[in-house]
Amino acid sequence: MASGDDEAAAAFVRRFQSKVYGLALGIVRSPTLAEDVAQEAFVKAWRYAGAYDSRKGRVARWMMTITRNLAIDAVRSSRQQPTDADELMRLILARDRGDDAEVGFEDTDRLRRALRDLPSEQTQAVLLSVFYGLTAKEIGTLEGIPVGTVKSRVRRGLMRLRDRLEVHDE
Amino acid sequence: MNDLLRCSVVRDLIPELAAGVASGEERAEALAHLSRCPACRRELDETATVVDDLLLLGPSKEPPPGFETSVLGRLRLPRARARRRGRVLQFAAVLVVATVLGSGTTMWATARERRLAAAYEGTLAVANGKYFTARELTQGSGPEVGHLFAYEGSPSWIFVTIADGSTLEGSYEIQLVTTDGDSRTLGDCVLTSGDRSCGGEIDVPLRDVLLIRLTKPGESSLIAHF
Repeated sequence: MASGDDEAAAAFVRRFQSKVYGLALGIVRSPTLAEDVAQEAFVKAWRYAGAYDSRKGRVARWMMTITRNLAIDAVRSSRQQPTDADELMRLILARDRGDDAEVGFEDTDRLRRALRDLPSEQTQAVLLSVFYGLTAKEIGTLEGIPVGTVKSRVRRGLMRLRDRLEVHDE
Repeated sequence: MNDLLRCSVVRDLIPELAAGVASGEERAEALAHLSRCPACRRELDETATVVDDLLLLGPSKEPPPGFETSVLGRLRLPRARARRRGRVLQFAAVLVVATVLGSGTTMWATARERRLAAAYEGTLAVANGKYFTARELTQGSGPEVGHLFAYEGSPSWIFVTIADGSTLEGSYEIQLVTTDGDSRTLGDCVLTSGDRSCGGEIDVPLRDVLLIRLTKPGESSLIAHF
């Protein structure tokens, strides 16, 4: 790469690496595997940068989605089960204000508060679905509850979060 | 594909669609309905925005020393100079976009995606198919070596293509591993310098496929994850 290109790529990596690696580690739990996933996320983002559509949201969301999908693939390939999802939940709910503003999302405090306000079983179901990519059936098996109950918890949880964000936007 | 899927049925699926965890069959059925129903598309769009935002709450952690160097090294490696320059510019454009755009996700509401949904639906309808997908084929931790295309219908099938420039040759055994851990051999795939593809029928729904791999003694397997 030319030096200017190097700088652009390096700036991008520096900007997102802690979020990308942190999310990957939170999902796969193995530092070695998380590093592989995080590297692959940047390579994939690079490869598909031309397909990026600004209407699909900001770059941070795009990077996080790529990372999450790769991490889930890695977990599924290694056949691990997210048995310590509680730890990820704790990290997500406990973080302090302002940690995420630098990656382009300023409403994390509000969303985190909304997440904390959900009934814990809804929070758990939403996070297992969103972060671990578990289907309702898989969550039902993990938690020992009917699939219909899981679907109801995820749907109600996401709707309440959406309502809280919409109220603020009005 | 069921054209009569009601809004209530699709809306029940929307959380899993937004989180990207719906099965291939469910996605295909919902997509057919969404292509015609603006209200359900709006519902999915809004839910997907929440899902996207939630991912930004993920924990931050500095990667190990040397991470940045390794990533930048990998970004340099596989590309021809001309293509690389183009992508660097695209990547730089992404950076610019990152700094100027407001919030909001419109995963489903654009005209382009509605056309795409309609085209996908029409393609599947030709042979009453349920789902069609394409996956990267990789070898070990290396770069992509080709693609695997999979179709769910009657019959269901897979088709493997190896990228131009790859030196992979010889006879590979095609194995399908299901989500419940069963492994079955589908047949052989013989790659030569003049024949860079192979395929065959499969007898399980794509939602039950965990991965498909091509194995050859002495080589890392070529793997497509589902």
